[in-house]
This record gives sequence, C-alpha cells and structure tokens, in this order.
Amino acid sequence: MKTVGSSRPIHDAWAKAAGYTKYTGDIRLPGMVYLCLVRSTIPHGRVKAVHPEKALALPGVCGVLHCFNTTQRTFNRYRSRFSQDELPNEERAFTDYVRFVGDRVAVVAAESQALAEKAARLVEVEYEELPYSIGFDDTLEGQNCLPGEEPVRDEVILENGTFPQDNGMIEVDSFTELPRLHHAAMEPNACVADYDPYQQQLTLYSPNQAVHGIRVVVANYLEMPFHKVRVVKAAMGGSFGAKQEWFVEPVAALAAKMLGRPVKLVYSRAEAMTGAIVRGAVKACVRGLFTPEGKIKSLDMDLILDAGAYVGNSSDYIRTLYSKLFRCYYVPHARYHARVISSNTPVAGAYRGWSAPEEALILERHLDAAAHKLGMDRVELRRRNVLLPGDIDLRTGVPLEEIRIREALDRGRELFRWNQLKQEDADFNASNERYRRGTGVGCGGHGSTYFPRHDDFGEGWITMNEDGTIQLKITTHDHGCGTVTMLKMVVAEVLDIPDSDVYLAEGDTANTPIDFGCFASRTTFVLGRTAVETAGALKTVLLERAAAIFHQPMEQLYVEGGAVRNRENPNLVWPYAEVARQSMLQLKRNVSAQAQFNNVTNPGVTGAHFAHVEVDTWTGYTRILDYLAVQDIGQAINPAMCEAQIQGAAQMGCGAALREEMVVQKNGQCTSSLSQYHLFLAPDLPDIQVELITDGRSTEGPFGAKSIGEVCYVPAAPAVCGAVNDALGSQLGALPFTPDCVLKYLARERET
Amino acid sequence: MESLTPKTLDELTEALAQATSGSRIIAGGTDLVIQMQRGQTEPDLLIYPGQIPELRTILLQKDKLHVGAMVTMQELTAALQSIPEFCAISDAASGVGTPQIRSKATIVGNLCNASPAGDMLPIGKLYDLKLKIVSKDGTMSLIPIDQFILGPRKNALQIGQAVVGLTINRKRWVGYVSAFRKIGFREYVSIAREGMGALVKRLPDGMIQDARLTLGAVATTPIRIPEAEVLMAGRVLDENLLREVAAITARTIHNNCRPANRLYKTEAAQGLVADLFDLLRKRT
Amino acid sequence: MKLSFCVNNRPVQLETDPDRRLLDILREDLSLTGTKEGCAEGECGACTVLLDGEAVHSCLTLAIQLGGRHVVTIEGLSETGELDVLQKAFVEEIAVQCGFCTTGMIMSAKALLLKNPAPTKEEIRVALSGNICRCSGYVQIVRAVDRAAHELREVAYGKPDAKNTG
Repeated sequence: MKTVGSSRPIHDAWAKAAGYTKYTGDIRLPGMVYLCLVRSTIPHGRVKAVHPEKALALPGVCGVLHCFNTTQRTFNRYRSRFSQDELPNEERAFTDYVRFVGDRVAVVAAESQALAEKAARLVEVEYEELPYSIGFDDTLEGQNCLPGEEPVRDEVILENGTFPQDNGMIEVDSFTELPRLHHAAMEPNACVADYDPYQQQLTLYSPNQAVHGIRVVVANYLEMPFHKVRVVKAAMGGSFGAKQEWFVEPVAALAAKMLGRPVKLVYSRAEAMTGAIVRGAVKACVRGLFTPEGKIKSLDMDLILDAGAYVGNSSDYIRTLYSKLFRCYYVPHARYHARVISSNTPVAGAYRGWSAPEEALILERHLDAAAHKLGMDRVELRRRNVLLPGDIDLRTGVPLEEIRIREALDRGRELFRWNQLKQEDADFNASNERYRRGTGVGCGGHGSTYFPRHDDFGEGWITMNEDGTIQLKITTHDHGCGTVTMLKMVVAEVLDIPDSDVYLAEGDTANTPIDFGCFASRTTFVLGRTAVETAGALKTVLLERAAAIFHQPMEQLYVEGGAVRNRENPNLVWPYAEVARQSMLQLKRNVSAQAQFNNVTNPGVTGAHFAHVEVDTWTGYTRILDYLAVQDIGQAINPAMCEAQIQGAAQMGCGAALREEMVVQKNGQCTSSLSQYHLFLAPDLPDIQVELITDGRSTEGPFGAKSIGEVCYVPAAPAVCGAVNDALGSQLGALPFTPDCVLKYLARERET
Repeated sequence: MESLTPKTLDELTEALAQATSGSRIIAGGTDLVIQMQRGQTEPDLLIYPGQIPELRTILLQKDKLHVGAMVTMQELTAALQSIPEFCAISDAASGVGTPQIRSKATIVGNLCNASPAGDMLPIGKLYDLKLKIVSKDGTMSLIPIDQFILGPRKNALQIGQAVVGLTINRKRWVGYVSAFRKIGFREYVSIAREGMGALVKRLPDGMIQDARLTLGAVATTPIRIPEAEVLMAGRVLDENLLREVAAITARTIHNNCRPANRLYKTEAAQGLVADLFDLLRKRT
Repeated sequence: MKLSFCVNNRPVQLETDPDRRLLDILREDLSLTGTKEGCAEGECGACTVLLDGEAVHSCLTLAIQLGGRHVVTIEGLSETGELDVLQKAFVEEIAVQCGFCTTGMIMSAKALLLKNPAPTKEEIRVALSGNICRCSGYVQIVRAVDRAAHELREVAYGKPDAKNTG
C-alpha cells in the first residue's frame, strides 16, 4: 500500500496552527445577534414569572424569549434517527418547570456577546421551589425529585448463558462507584442559526456528530419539512460525546426563527459543564464466580445510573453497558440488573466509549479483586479469560474475527517489563517510608460499528474533476482526530493518487448523503469502507470510459499512478485528467459514481493498558511514572494520528482515575469551573508509550482497519486505578483516587 | 464605566480622589476580571496604575527590599530566586497559577485580594512585610501585614487609598534561608489547600539558631506556628525534627481549619513539612 | 476610552470600553479569530497571546491595561502566509488534533522560546502547564516545541552544535 499505513498531519492542521480555521464561535453573519441563556438557579421548581423588562431596557438588546412566550412543543436531545419512536420528547427550549440548576428558562438576544451576558443577568425569574434530590441517596430514599414521574425511570434484567453448577468455585465481590464527568472538549458547545423567512429555510452551523440527527430533531420540533432544514457540520474543537446530543441547535433554531435574524449561541465553560451533558454517576456491585485457576464462570452485576434531570440516553445506556461485558472476556454466564434513577442534577449523556469505560472500570476492579483473592498475577488472570481469535460476541452472536487482546496483554507484559517492575516495586516499597509504587493493567473492548444494534450503512458520492482531482461526499464529522484525512487516504489508495488530490466536504444535509452520525467509533470502519466502495465505483467508471473513448478492451485496462493504463502495452497511458476531459467532450458525460455500503459485521477491537505509579502517602498525590497502551487496531490507516489519539485517551483515563469529578453540592450546584475540575496538564504526564498490534485485521473494514477513538479510552482509567490499589495494597473502588481519597484510606488503615 | 490610567504618583492621588466605594484598582487583573465577568462586581471607576514607573520597580538594598505594586509574580521570581533569605518569595510567586497568570498577576494584588488561599499571605506574615499605601491627599503610610489583611477578601484599604508597594526589612533576615511549599489538588497549577513558609537561621554546623514558620490557606488569615518555631531552635533539620514539627503543624492545622477539609489538610501536613525541609536543606 | 496599542507590529487605535477584554477586541473588533475562548477564567490557555513578549490570557486582560503595549497573536506569527518554525513543527509532529488549544499552546511555546532558546523537555512541559489539551497526551506537543527550539538554534548558530542539543 502506498498511502494507507503512512503517517501524516490531518487535513486542516496547517490552518489550525495558523489560527485560520473558523469554528462556530468565529462565524459572523450580517445582522447576527448573540444569545445568552438564562438558566435556573434552583434545582427544582415552577417558574411563576419572568421579568425581562430591565434586560429589554438596555440599548442593543433585541429580545428575550422565555418559557411564557415560546412554544410548548418538546424535543428529545438524544434522538439521532427518524425511527426512534420509543424516545419521549421531554424538553422544551425554555421551561416553566425547572428540573436542575442550569435548566433553560429564557434567552436574551443582543447586539454583542458581552451585552447579551449583561442583560441575561438582569432577567428576573420568580420561582416556586420544590423539594429535590441531588443523587442516588436522595432519590432512593424516596425524595420526590420529579412529581408525576417514577424516581426509578427504568429497570432491566438481562441474562446470558446458564448459571454454573461446578464445584469448588470461588466467589468474589467488588463494588465500584463512578462520579459524573465532564468531557472538557476545549471548544464549548455552539451553534449559529440563520432563518430565511421568505423561503422558510433554516440553516444551522454547529460542531456536531450527526447533521441528519439534528435535522430530525429540529424539523420535528419546529414542524418544518426536512428539506427546509439544512444542518452543516462546522470545524469541531473536540467532542468526546459532548456534541452528539442536541440542545444548542433546537434553541438557536427557535430563536433565529422567532427573531428573524441570524443568531449565535456559544456556551460558556460553566454551561458546557453543567448545562450540556455529563457522564452520569454510576454505582455497581459485582459478584463473580471463578474456578481456582482463575476462569470466569459467572458474573452477576447490579448497577444503578443517575440520569439526572432528563432521561436522555440513559435507558439505552444501561443496556449497552451490559453488551460491553462480551467484547473483551469470555463470560459464559452473566446476569445483570440495572436501574436508571432521576435526580435534580445535570443531565447524563454520551461520553467517549458510551458505557464501555464504566463497564471496564467495574469489571477490571472485579478482576483485580479476583486476582487478589486467588493469589494470581493480574495479567495472567486476564490472559486466561480474554476472548480469542475466532470467538463470537456471546450476546449478539456476531463474530469477533481476529481479536488480539491476548497478544496485547503478552506484548504489553513484555514491553512494560511487568514482572520485573513488580519486583522492583516490592524492593522500592520495602525501603521507602513515604512513597509507594505499583503497577496496573486494564483491558477493554469496544465495537467498530453499530451492528447489530442498528441498521448501519454509509453512502458516498464521488466526482472526478477535469484536472483529475477528486471530490468526495460522505457525511463525516471530523472531531479533530483526522477522519477526513483517513477517508482521503482510503480513496487515494484505491485510485492510486496522492491524498492531497482528494477533497472531502464534511456533513451538510443539503450536500452530503444521509448518515446516522459519527458515533460508536464507526467512522473509520463503516464510512472508510464506504469510501473504498465509492472510489472503487469511480475506478470502474473510469475504466469503462477509457475503454470507450480510447477504443481499448476493458479487461486490459488498470489504474496506476493517477492514470489508466493498458496491461498489454506500457506505452498506452491516459492520465485521469485526460479521461475526465474526453469523457465530457466525447461522451458528454461526467466521471462520477455513487456507492452504498451496508455493514453487517462488528469485529472485536480491544486494548490493554499498563500504568506504573508512585503514590505519595504523605500528601496523597499520585504520579504516573510510566504508561503503555497496546491497541489491537487492525490496519492503522494514519498511524501517527492513531498514536496521538491513544495518548489523549491515556490522558483522559489518568484524569478519570485520579482527579476528575463533578460534585453536586447540597444546594444542587454542580462543579462549573475548570479551576475545580482538575485535568491532567503537560508536566503531570510521562511520555505515553503506544504499541499498535496490526495483524488482527478486520474482514470488512477498509484495508483491514478497525476502530480506535473510543476503545483506547476504555482500558485507561482501570489501569491507573489498578496501579494505585497495587501501590497501596488497597481495594479502593470509589473514583477518583484523589489525594483526599488516598489519605483518608491510609488514615483509616492506620486506625484498624 | 469611567477609567483612569495615571502615569505618575501625583496623577494616581488625583485619580484616587475620584474613587467611590464602587471603584476598583486593577493591577494584573487575573482575579478582578473574573469577578467582573461573572457580574460579581461592576466598578463605576477603574484605575490602572501600570504606567507609573515607580510601581514597576524592585529595589533590592542591603537593608531592605522594596517591591512596587505592579511587579509581577514572574519578575519577582526572577529577581529573588538566588537570594537565600528571599527564596520563599520566589518559591511562592513561581507557584501561583500558570505561566500566563504569573506574567500578569502581582504580589500586591494577591495581598489586596486577601483570599485565604492566596500564596502571598503566609509570605507576608513570614517576613513581617509592610504595605506602602498612598491616600488621595498624597500622604504615604506603612501598614504591617497583620493590620492589612482583615479577613477573607477583606483588606484595610479605605476609599481613596491604594497600595503602591511593599517593603521588607532585609536586615532582619540576613543570614536566614527561606522556603515556601504548598499543596493543592494537583502538583502544577493549583490553588493552595495549605501552604507553608519558613525562615531559618543556622550556625555553620547546621544547628538552628532561629526559625519562623507560617501557614496559609488553613485559617481565614495566615498564622504562625510558635510552638514549632521554639522547638526548632537548637536542633538540626533531621528526620526527628521533621516528625515533631510535622506533628505540631498537623495539630495546628487541625485546630484552625474548617471541618470539611480537616482530615486531608491534617494528614497532608507531614508531606508539606517534609517538602519544606527538603528545600531548606538544599539551601544551606 | 481611546486605546492606542500595537497588534502584530501594526499600530491600532480604537474607541472602546475600559473593561472590554483583549480577547473580544481581537476577535470582534480586529477579526483576529485565531485566539480562542475556552473558559474565560484563565484556566485553559486557549486565549493566550503575547503581551510585550510574555504569554498572557487575553480573556483576563482589559483594554485599560493595554495602552502603548505590544500584542502578538497567532496571526502575527505567519503574516506572510507561511507558517513560522513553531507552527510548522506543530503540524509536522502531529501535534494538531481538534486545534482549539493549538493557537494558545503555540503562543505559550513562543513565549518560552523567546526567553529560553534551549529548554529541556521538562521546562517545555512546565511552560505549557497553563494550556490544556484534551485530545492528546501532550507528547507530540512537547516534541514539536523541542523540534522548533532545535531548528531555531540551527538558524541562529548554524548546524546543531555540541553545546545546544537540548
């Protein structure tokens, strides 16, 4: 392969480094007004009145829309396709019944952002306060957080396999508690909306993961036909799931339509933290049965998820979490009981990995506990339970194909010097009073496609220009991780041209084909394969045209180096530009093609991460000494970008393990500043090592590729948590392992 | 909003004459701008004294150190980091916020802001620092730190007054080594959860003649640890002393901090004192 | 107030409010949108620019503080249409992902290299401690700054010498 497998910067790296790339917040349309939301300051209550007079009195304020002068219609933020009838429409743009601190009550439109913010502070809202719940304890104690709705919003029991009857099985119990998390995409949520009342045409620009999903929601919400709603994916400053549910777009669309002017809505950091979505808080108990040799016989998981104030995606989320149990380990029997509760807190939603990281934290904690009880090495225990090439997903029956998790563990154990490190740590700890070192390993699996949960297909349209360059239309949404470049490379490989000769427009409902969104790590696999098919279709057209124009037998023609050639006669070479031009001149036809790819596979994609940490038992700080991520990726299309993305996942995982936590206080206020949400910074991390295992290729993905974006986050936090527990000799399960958590544990240990 | 950018001390006093209770002086702005953004304060008059040359100077003399009100954390770090008796100041200044914050934030601004977590508060108390204050009538006065910091976010400035600088009696500290260490939520870029400053005078054989310790971010205003200071005299900076000082420090923290953070802050005292001792030992 | 200052080597005069943020002046009045707003409270570093050669948060800098001073934004590094050494190094070392932190990150690196032409990897990491990147593990970013430092020293001193291999 000439292009696939070689590293390069992503397509817009130059423009981004220059500061030239225009993000949604940078867009300025003529006549545009700026929006600032007025959000509930109480966790639960009825809005009795909204007083916009003081805001409206400021020169330059164009209007105040609120719960009493806007539509009562509702939408569901999580809907991303027309067929999800089961999802309730539960949100208004502005509500007179506020369910959490941060719920939208009104919006101010003004001639400048600063003015809109100032005016928003002047809008007075009168509330009638109601009792509220700030989480599991309140809700389960019966605190009435949403009258008329059940506190337990959903409950599910699932089981696979039969309960084992073996003798001599060893029972292991574990408990894990995960806090709410913030995505911390550096670009906050944003939308620019432009409504042309004369053509009743709405255009939305936003950084998002599914232009067609937004179209479904906004068109239904505003009672508009689909062709009158155009959604354009703008440059995206990171998502990690934060931009795959729709709350800025419906609000901006409504405001643009009502005000008759283009509007811009950009969330503040505080809004992105508390007024968008969070990863929901989870608690889980696992009872496992193991053979004395460490083989899993049964896992029984009891889990509870706090959906926050709206159900959003939570019902699907708990079901998906269960399905992740079967993507990495062989679990012959599993039983799962899960509940979703409501509370008056920020809304839970999508987050990188979409429940797989939570599942891994719960299960990897459990496996560490099992290894402890069985007296086994933690890598060895995992080796004995991981899925092997040829295994199937026991829940869905879908083949996992060339899954390489055991190889990842073996390679990692060797590269990380796992056994030597364990000995070195033991020596270090024996001779050190203050610092304690430990190692951790985490494994995790994910999917590469939607299959079989949803129909999963992609479509591509492709044209060759008169100069032989390519224009490709596939509805992709680059999050910043380089999927545009990936698709260009795939097309370039098929047509044997430089990837710089391919132009790819991102998702735009007016210009690119239908797609269900860049979720589920499906972009490389499904859209990449779609690009292969589309480029292949174009290649066929090229050959047919060349045969017709130059009177050649079709079977003798092939493409190489940007030209059609004849196998029998090396002197016959027709550059693509020539074929394209002659096709127009002689055949009166453009060289273009279209293809669809209906995906029906979902190979196993996995990773094993290794962390070496040093815990300061006198301050509680944990330092990451060394970190290795081994990923079973199949063909890496742009390896350096994969590596960069994996290192980012390690950074996020270190954060989730050690620092990150959104805390809801007794008054319902949630962490709303990066000064209190402690992310990992450059000096906090070592050079994260990455090892790619590329021989576990997929059968259906483009050139054997599998997914990477989410799966690399799954094993990260478990590895770090395991290392801390190893260092301390502890069995801590409530994340994050902050300095407070560590010193509290040590103080308790000292007393007992 | 009105604004004034005085270019001389005289112009500053003229500006101060126009100030009301709603007026604010902006130095680095790293705290004030956030408050203004959130609508927590909306000044009627903003005075920026950054163009007054005297306020930008650091005057290091044999007997005293004078730091102008507009001197930044970064400038102060560079100026003092190789002077043993003032290393504590550069330790603290170099640990405030991020590089971007340190290139604007001022030591005087940190003191005026009077946040209990402000790193310069325990530093001020450590050196018995005095603030030089100008009034709208042009008079200058010196106020000791203890009389300046009145409580959380409360200082002694009256309407029509501004701090123009601070002075430290260097003579008092010649022959001392100093250090400052803090513990936050993470190692880099963190607001102090507890911070500790030390000044120690040692004989050539390492025996401590005199010591002074202050704690910040524990009580609402910085505190000394007299019991530990007395204990240190006549001892050397060894592991035994470390253990005893850590125990006293932990007790002091326990008795002075809010219950919510008590367990962590008390437990972490050992690490805090150990790191502080490490710095002091290196600076022999 | 009347504000006279210098942006990217050009004198700028405008009538503005004293409490207007430099970030807004750049983005709205001067259409220099390469400087980003990520948090508005000096935590993320996306809005970093150079003020008289030092990295500062443009979100925490007000018009009243700017009189007579010199601001350099990301646009000021590549005014000829060609990326400067640091920007190129970020591209070539694959240090650019979503790009939202990139411009601020580059400006912090610029401030570092102005003061310290031969930083160690550790010094680079500390100099970037005020800039959050969520996409990466900072590895390529640190490598890019290191590479730019080497290249700049090569330009200044000729081929890499024994003293300055960082």
